[in-house]
Amino acid sequence: MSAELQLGDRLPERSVSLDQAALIRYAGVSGDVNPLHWDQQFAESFSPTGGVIAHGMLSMGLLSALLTDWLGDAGRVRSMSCQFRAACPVGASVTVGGEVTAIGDDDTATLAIWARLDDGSKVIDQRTSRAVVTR
Amino acid sequence: MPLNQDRVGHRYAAYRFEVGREHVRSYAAVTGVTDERYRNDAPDSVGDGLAVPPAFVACIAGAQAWSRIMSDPQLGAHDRVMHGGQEFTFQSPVRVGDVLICTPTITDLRSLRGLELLTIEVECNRPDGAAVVTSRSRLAFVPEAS
Repeated sequence: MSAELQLGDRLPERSVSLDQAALIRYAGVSGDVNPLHWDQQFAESFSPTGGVIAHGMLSMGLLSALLTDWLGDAGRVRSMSCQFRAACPVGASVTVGGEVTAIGDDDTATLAIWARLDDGSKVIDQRTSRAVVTR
Repeated sequence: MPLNQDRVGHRYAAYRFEVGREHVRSYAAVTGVTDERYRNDAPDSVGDGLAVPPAFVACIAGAQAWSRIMSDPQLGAHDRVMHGGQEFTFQSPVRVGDVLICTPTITDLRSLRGLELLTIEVECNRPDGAAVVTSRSRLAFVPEAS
């Protein structure tokens, strides 16, 4: 993307299946080794799904990748904020996307960003999750 | 045993983080970056100075801060924890080859609907003190069922 961002511009949606291997790879690269993301017995004891769930940060990472590709320069991202809502069970498919919802006076555009499951559950809630980027 | 409210405001020891190209390449691959400059198989990929994907800051601020809070005997953290929210605020982009000095601070602790919500900020600065990025994580600790 080289043209200036406009109100209503949308990120091209991207869907990824987050199987156990994906979670283990993310744990390795990020250093987030919380057993909630790989140990079924541990996860059963308090996970909202009763089982292993994906890292919220992996869904945020998918959005980060989408922004990186779409903007053509990751350095344009000035801030990124995500609220994690629904848990993403291991094996689920997550779709990420976003839309420009505001243009700032200071050469910025604000995007509402989201991640959701096939059943519509909001893993990252677009009402409260934003990226502010250089326009 | 609830977390210790007196730890709000506590700053942990700073640590040094070098933004390595193989680390950024691996992160980009795992999160699905398609831009060829980040791809594992491109011979000229991930050169010094390339801006990292924004959520790569999780690699900088996550594990080290995590190990500090989990090993803080005065805080009383435990491993029944979920990630409630995350913000990254950039004063300037993080680039491959950067050296960052990172300082975690506990900035808030409150109870909400039976959870204990801990906020931890990590300020990442250049060695000369210039601010680069701040990470703010909200962690939800789930008490043991009584």
